[in-house]
Amino acid sequence: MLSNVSLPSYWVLFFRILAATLGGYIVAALFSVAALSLPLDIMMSLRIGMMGSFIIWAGVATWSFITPSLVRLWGAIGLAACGLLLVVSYGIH
Amino acid sequence: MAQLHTWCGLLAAWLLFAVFLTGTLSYFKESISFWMQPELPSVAANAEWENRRLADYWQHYLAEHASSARSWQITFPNERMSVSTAVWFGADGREQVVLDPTTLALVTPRETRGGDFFYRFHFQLHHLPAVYGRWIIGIATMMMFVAIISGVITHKKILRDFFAFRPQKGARSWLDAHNAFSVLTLPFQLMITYTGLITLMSLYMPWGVERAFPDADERRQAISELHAFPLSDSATGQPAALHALGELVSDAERYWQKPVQSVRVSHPGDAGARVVVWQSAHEALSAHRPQRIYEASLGALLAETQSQRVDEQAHGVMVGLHAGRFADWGMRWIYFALGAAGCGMVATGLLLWTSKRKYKKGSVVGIWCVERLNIATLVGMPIAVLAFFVSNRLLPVALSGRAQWEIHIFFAAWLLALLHAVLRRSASQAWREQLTLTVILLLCLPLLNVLTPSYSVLDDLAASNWQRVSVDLMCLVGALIIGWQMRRAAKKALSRVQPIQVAS
Repeated sequence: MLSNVSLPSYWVLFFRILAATLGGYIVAALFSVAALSLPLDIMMSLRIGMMGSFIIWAGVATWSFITPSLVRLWGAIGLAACGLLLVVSYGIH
Repeated sequence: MAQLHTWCGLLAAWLLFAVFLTGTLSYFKESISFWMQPELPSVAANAEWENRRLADYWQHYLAEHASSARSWQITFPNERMSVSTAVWFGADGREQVVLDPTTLALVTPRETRGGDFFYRFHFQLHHLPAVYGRWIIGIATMMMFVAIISGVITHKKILRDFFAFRPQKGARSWLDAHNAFSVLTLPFQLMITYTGLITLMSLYMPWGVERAFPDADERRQAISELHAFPLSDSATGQPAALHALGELVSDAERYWQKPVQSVRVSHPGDAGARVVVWQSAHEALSAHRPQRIYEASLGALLAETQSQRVDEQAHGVMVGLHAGRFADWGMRWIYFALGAAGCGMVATGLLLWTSKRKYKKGSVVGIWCVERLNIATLVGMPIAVLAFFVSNRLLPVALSGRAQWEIHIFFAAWLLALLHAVLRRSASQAWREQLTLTVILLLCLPLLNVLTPSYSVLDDLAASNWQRVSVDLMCLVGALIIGWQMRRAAKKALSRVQPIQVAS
């Protein structure tokens, strides 16, 4: 909440829109790659990753406008992205 | 949350209306093409043909006329298409020949893109490289997805409001209409939006495939497997004779005990030629149609799609649900009605936006822009579609580049509608005039069929061939509904003005 007070409202809006568009797409895209680490057939993992990614994107986009704190929003997006990146780089499959 | 719904919806709504309208029309794309080509024979109720004989006919014809083509694509008739077609890419680009299956005579219908124009437009627009169009529509679809989700969250009292309809209360009524359209058909709208993204997922989310298959050739192979669409192998350069296509077709039909819909021959006349035979799309929900791939010179079976795994099924069913190719006539009308409700959802959403802000203080410019764009889209787009139909009847049949002219007229009509909406001083007058034009065009179309040499409505009715007649009937129904609503609106406006006159 603190960060919202110190920022003018149009910047808050800008960062929410950025989180919903770019942030959402990055998390979704990373999810679609991370799904390859699933212990499944490659085609199945690909389909799960691709078909699931749009739901993830829509979820991030919606949540970007629900959560009151910008810090928490971007923190969560960063955490999710880092977690997925870890899976992408060190995934087993 | 309500803000997200409002702005996400507003920004994408005009494009979404165009996509919903052309997509809804696409459920009847064969019927529309059929209506736009009166030269094509009607489907006789007792029409009989053998796909095997048609395949043999095409083999002879194409060997003579298209021996140097990269591939041939042969489509057989079905309950929605009375003719058999062959398409190939020759020296002059794409060429298509149409055959009457009962008489085995070639027909040359007037040049038109027909319903296919709407089908292409609804996912890649026009006058733009296809990839850009697909991305633009993908972004709008994603916004729609977010707007639906946030709309459901906003609409907490979904069940109670579901039964509330307060007509003739201005913004309140638009809100109720918007809710009625969206809540009643919510599962369909969610499905159609999500599955729309799924149909082009390899374009929007290519990262998984890129990571798993760094090699370009392997990647192409993987994408073709993802979408269950076989690639053609490369040509060897060695000439080889082509096995009888008719035999391959009857072999597949015997094996499936179901009709074949289409055949593709890649590199005909080459030793590397392949024949792919697809089963009819009417047989299953999944868009991944069963297929058999044959070696083309000996006719040996190379591959056939196995019983599908769960993920393949899931993907195939999603794409199948979106396209609705499996649907018989009854289901097709339900799809059409649900698509129309989608148009209604977007339209009432837009009208709600302006009616809520019209009498409040605030940005006049914003409201002016939205209102004019509303007119140019919600009425201008249907006018453009109707102009496309009218031009199909009025342009000379022998005009060169006829199909392109029809498309030019579509866009010209849309542009004129936009200009009219912008230049007219009073918005309500612009609404009224464009709606009147829509009604006139809707009434003109069935009339044009009687006046211009086209198909005979009476003969089709007598033979109960509903496919073309339905287009005329829908025009009349549309004219009635719009005319009735306009009369009601005019009466209401009159009764609202009168008391003021008395008072002054």
